[in-house]
Amino acid sequence: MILDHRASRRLDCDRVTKLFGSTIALWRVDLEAAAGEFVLIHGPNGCGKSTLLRVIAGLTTPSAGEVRWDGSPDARPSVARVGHNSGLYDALTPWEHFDLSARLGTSDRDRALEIFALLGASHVLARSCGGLSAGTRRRVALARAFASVADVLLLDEPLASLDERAASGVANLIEEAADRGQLVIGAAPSDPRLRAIAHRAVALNDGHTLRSLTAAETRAESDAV
Amino acid sequence: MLSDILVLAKKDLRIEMRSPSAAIGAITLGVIGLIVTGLATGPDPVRLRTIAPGLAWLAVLYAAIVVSERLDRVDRTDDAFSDLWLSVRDRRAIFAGKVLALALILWMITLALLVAAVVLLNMAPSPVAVAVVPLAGLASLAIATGAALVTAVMGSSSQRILLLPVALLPLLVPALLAASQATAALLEGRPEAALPWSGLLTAQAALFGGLGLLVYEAGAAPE
Repeated sequence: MILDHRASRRLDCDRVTKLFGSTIALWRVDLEAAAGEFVLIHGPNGCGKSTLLRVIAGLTTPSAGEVRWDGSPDARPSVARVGHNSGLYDALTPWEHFDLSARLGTSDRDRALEIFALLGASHVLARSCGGLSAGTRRRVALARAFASVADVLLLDEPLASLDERAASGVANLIEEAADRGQLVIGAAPSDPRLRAIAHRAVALNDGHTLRSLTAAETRAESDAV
Repeated sequence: MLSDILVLAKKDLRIEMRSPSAAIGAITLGVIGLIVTGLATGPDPVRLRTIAPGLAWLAVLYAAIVVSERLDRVDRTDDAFSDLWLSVRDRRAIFAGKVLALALILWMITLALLVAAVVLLNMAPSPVAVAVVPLAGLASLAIATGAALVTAVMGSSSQRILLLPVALLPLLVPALLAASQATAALLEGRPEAALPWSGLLTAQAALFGGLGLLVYEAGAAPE
C-alpha cells in the first residue's frame, strides 16, 4: 500500500524557542517546509536538532513561538519518527513491531518487511529486540517509519549506526518518501549523502539558525569549495 | 478506538507474559502470606477462612503497583512511549488498553490466589462461590483503573517507584475492603451480602476510569 501525500501539509515554525531551565536549546528558530520536500537540519552535537524535531512532532512544547501546520497552530498531522532512541520494546520482535504499527493503522506491514529485507536485517525478524545490536534496532525503527502512511517523517540521525550499504538504502528511501509527497525532515551532523539529496539544508548552532540553503544554493557552495 | 484498545492491551499482555516476574512475585507473596498467617494464628479454620480473602487481595494490590509501574516503565524505556503517543489517533486508547491489560493480569493472579487459599486452608466453598470469578474481574478492573491513572499521571519521575505506593494505596483502600468483604461473603454462601460491595467496586471503576479518560492526554504527555 503506497499512499500519495501530495495534497497535504505545510509546516511553519515561527520563532520557536525552547529553554530547559536557563539553558537555551532553541532560540527563535524559523523553518518552513512543505509536503514532498526533504529538509535537512544539520549542526554539531547539542545544537538543538533533536529538540527541534521533538517540537515539530508535538512531543515537546516550545517555551515561545509557534509551530503551525497548514497555517493552524491546532492542526495535528500524522507523524512517524525515528528518534535519537530507537523506540522499541525489548520483549517484542521486529515482526511484532511492524504488526503493531499496522494494526494501529499507521504503517503497512508488508512494506516494512520489504524495507527491513532491503536493509539486510530480515534474518532477525523473529528475535526479541532486546538482543539486537544498535545498528539492527535502528533498521527496525527505520523500516517501521519508512513503511508509515503518515504525512510527516521525522528522522533523527537516520544514518547513524548503519553500514555503507544500508546508509545508501536509507538515502534512497528518503528520496522515495519525498517523491511520494511525504514531508521528510532529517537531523544529522553534516553528512554529504544527506546534503546531496536535501531540498533544503538548515544549519543550527547553539539553538540558533545560522542559515538556510536551497538545494541549488548548496550545490553552488559545494562547487565553489 | 476499540480496536486500538484491544491492540494495545494485547501488546502489554504479550510483554508481561514474556517476563511475568511481577505476577509470579505477587502469587508467591500471597501464598507465603497464607501459610505464615496459618502458622501464626494456629489451626483455627474459621479464623483463617475469614482472613484469607483479605490476604489474597492485599497480594493483588501489591501486584497492581508492581505490574502497573513495570508496564509504564517498559513503554518509557528507549522512548517507545513517544512513538506510541504519535501512533494512536485517540490517546485515551493508550490508557484504556493499559487498564484492560492490567485488569486481566490482576484477574488471573486473584483467581490463582483464591484457588491456593481454598486448597491450603482446606476450605469447602459453597456453590455460589463460583460468582467469585466475575467479582474478581470487577475488583481487578476497579484496582487497575486507579493504578493505571496514578502511574500515568506520575510520568517518568525518578522517584516514582517510591511515590507510587504512597499515592495509590489510600485511593485503593475502598476497593481492597469491598473486594475482601464481597469475596468472603461469596465463599461463605451469602451472595446478598456481596451485592453492596460489588456496587462500591463498580462505582470506583467508573470513577477512576472516567477520570482517567478525561485527564490522560493532558497528564501523561511525553516531554
